[in-house]
Amino acid sequence: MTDMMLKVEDLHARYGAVEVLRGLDFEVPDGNVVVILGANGAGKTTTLRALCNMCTTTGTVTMEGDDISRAKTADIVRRGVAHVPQGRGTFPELSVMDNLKIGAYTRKDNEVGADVDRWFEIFPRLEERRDQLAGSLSGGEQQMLAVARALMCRPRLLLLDEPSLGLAPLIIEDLFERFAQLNKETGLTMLLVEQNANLALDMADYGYVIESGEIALHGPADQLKNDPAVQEAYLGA
Amino acid sequence: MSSPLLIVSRGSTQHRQWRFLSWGYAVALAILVPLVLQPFEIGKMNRALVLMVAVLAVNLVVGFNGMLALGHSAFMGIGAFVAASMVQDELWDYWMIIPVVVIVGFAIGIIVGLPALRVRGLYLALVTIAQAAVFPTLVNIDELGIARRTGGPNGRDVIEEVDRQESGFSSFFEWLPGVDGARGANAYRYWILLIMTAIVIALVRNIMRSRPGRAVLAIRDSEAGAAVYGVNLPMYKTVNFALSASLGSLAGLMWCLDKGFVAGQDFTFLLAVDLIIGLVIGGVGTLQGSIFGGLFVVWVRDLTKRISIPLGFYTLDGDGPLSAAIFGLILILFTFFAPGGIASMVTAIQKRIIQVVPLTPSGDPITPLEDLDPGPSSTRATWALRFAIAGPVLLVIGWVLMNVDNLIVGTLAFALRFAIVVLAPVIIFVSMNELRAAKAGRRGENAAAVSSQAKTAGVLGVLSFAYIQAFALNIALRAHHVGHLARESVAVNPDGKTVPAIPLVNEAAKAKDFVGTSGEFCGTSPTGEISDMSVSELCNVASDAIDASETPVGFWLIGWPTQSMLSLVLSIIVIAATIFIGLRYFVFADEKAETASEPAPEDVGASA
Amino acid sequence: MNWNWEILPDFIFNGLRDGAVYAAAALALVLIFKATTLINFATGELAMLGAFFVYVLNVEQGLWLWLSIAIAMLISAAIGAAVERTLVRPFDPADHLPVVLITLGLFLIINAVAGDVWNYQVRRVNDPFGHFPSWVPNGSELKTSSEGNIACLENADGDLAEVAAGTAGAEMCEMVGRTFFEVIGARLHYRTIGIWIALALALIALALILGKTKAGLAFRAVSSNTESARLVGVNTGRTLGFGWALASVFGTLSAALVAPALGGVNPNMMLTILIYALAGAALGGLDSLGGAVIGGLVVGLIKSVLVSWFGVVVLGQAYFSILQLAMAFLLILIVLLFRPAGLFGTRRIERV
Repeated sequence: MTDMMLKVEDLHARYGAVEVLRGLDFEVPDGNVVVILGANGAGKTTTLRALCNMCTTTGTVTMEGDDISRAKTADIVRRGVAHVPQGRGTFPELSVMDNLKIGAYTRKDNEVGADVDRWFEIFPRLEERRDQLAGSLSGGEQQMLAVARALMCRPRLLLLDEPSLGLAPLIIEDLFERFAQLNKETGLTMLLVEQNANLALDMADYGYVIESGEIALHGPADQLKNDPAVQEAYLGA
Repeated sequence: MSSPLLIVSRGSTQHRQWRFLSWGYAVALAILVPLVLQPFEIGKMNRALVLMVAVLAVNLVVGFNGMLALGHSAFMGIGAFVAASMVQDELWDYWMIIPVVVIVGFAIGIIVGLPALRVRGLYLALVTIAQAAVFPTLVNIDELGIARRTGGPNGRDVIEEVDRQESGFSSFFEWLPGVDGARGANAYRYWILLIMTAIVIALVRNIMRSRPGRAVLAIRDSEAGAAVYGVNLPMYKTVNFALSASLGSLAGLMWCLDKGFVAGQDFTFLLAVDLIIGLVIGGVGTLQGSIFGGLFVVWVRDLTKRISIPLGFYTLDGDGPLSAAIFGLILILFTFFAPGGIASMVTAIQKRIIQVVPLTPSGDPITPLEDLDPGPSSTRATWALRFAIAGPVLLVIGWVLMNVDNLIVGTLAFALRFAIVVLAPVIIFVSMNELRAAKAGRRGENAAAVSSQAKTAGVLGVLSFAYIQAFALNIALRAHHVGHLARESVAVNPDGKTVPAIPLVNEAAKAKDFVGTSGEFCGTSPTGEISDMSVSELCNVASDAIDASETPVGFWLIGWPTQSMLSLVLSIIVIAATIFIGLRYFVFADEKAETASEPAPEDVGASA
Repeated sequence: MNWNWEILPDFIFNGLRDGAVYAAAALALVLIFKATTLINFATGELAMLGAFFVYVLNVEQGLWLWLSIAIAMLISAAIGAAVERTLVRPFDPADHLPVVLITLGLFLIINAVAGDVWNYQVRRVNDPFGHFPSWVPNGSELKTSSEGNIACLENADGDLAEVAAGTAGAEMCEMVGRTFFEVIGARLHYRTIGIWIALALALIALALILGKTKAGLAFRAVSSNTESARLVGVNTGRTLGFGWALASVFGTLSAALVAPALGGVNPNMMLTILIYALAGAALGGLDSLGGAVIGGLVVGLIKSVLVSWFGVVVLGQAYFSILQLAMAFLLILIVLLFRPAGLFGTRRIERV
């Protein structure tokens, strides 16, 4: 299956004695946007961390046919996985420019400057503040910076951990439009973890719902959106 | 031996017996120390007692409150200098100074702790390490009368008399074991320091079980959590630190009492590091850890000193580079491989031997004891028998190795000889339990084999226990007798005058403590180079005097196997029984098993 | 009160000279604090080891002094990185106790090993800034020349005193006497200027490494947000080792600069300097590199101007000279009381 960006089988993860993920199976096809929905504590963040091997896991994670479940985080990043962690994950004591440069840390080519310009075009607010410390940016700007920083490594798979968290609704809509635009223009594959199911399902192709570390429900985004259980739990219907 | 050998419910008769035994052992060891050890070794024990209190003080902050305090040498120094000055300049008695020292320590603890404990992280470590570095420089200030009271760079001698007013309370101590003359001065201070240390440990134990104590522990486990429950973090941390500082000062007073001399260079950063090492190796956050830590620092320092001298790595005060390097290495190794220290090792061993099942509020064990019983496949009786044989065997090996003139081998020999002390009661307890279990039918078809093994082990265990008792009694009596003789004996000193032997013995002990050599009561140092000629002369004179005193014939009822008939007979009985049973149960066990496997299970019991 | 203003510039120069040494040592502390949020109590001993490498290479092996310092820095960097890799990385940095214990153990071991190899006597070293003419022999010969004449010895402030005259001694003093400028009536020694220039060059190099190189960027990223740094593919372990290596370089620099002023190298040479450096780092803010430099200089100034000049000269109280170290301790307490983050610290300080 060459058109499968990511394939996860029987993924378990634990923090000490607590098992957080109890055998997840899911797939992210190339060029698609896949969303993982779930309540607080369902294991959404842990899923993304487990993919980057940032916690103790068992199970198989295959990226484009290669097993990456035992690879080091740095090697996974080199394969083209960019992770925007929850709560932005910018470097507050570094300038905006340095934040973008560190995003390109794994790259060895000479086009970093060009890429910076490109993302400045998409996120013009960042260009205005290029020499400011990241810690002094507003929440929305920091989120943009986190995404731009993740894109600096020219990922083929973008992992987004609750990008809407703590942002004003208008900014969230703006942000999600940009995600959709990115996906359409560059064909970037995205795995999105969200509690804001409405927006996420609008943008996504496919969705999974996890509860207590297990997949409770999955299906195409449209279908999920009309599922009465999902509507009741996540869409406030 | 996957499950513990003994499982008792809390508060049961057996549990109480076990605790009684543990306390009995502790008391017996405490009594034997001043009786059996050489005077300079008692001096080392005194130093260990002082350091126990100091390590406990550090433990209060590091172990119980999770903050890093690296400068308790300064608090000890303050306590020691306040005590020295009050004793020498104001002519107070030591016991009257205790409240003064505690209050001064508390106040200084508040001054240092308040700024550092308002913020989280390593700031207390930073402040206290600076404090440790600064303190020795301050005592040398000539102006403001400081140097006059501290003795400045030369230090200051302090009288060791505890009770100058002769209020009569010191005459009480003359009745205690070991305070008999031969080792009088050191043994006398031993008892005073022991009582002080015991009171401090009991005090800290009770504080930690009280409401404020639980708040302090809660802060260690989770500052946020403690704050949520309304614990005033800076207040508790600072008061706890100040309490620790006052205990440190008290340890300083004890130091002054023990050493009879105070000097700024004794209270440097290196002493603070010693306390930290003692804490970590003893066991952070446990009361026993402080006890082990104090003993460890003193005795391992002594050991490294004794190793260093023949190798040529030494300085006169004994803190040779090798000793410091070994301490540093031990610290790193413990941090890596045994972060719980000796206390956790002891607990781990104890857990293999005994498990105390807690009670529900209604008074029943939380898990019924029957459920914890290993059933017919129990190997406890076999283990009891193995221990029963191992004890005397190790004892004999220890006897043999004792004669090798090597420090490491000697220490090992001591440990081997000591094993039987721990094993004997375990054997008795386990075999009694197994007999009961077999009778109650909990050993199924193996009941007969189990009870036969348990009976044999039990007999051996009782024999071993009797041997320990007799041995301890013997050495206590002998030590007391030697002390009695020494008090009356006279010696001819190098000038040809007849003088009481005891001051000579004490002098020799002090000299030997200073040079730090091992050996017999009055032996020369291993190299012979370091030992001052007058020291060994002193030793010879003193020991000749004691030897010349008449030893009543037949006094040695029991002692070393070669020293007395009864001891020899007893030893032979124990060893022969051990060999016999060992051969029967372990060497020829396979043959027996083969023959036993043929008949029906009932017959096994009958034949055994 | 004896306001002896004329000699104040002397004390200021001396203070800033000592302060530069403390600044370098404080930088070593802060670099490690930024990397692993831990105070490395073995900083001073690692630095002392570096100074001994300089001694071995330059005095014993006869290598060119600056080459010796460069090689010693490289060796120290390797040792620093190795210590981080083997002894510090296995532990969780959030738990302070184990790593502090490790650094204390290292402190003891390095001090003891150095004491065993080189013993505790002071061994004279060459001054990198030409304090003594090159034909003056190294070591103790200087003190006990054949007629018992003592040539030119330094006092504690690094000034030269002609203790006893002899033909050779006078000649030597003549030569070393030319090792300072007269600036506003005060002696500004070549050594002082040399130390300042060396520190300035090292700071520029550090700024370039941290600001312009990829490793420097990675170091700043890791010290700012370790988790995110891992997520952009930074090898955090290697970066922390890099931080320790940089810190060791600065430690060695401070020890190599201060050794001639102390009369030479010995295993206990950095014990008090570590305390001044801690005070400087606390004053500047434990996580601020610029703060460490300014904090170190300020500590040097306070020690020289406030304690030595004001206390000893103006107030006429000789015991103030003993209080130098106590002043550092007091300074730490005052900083914690009024500004726990230090003057330039950026890290949020959690008050409890």
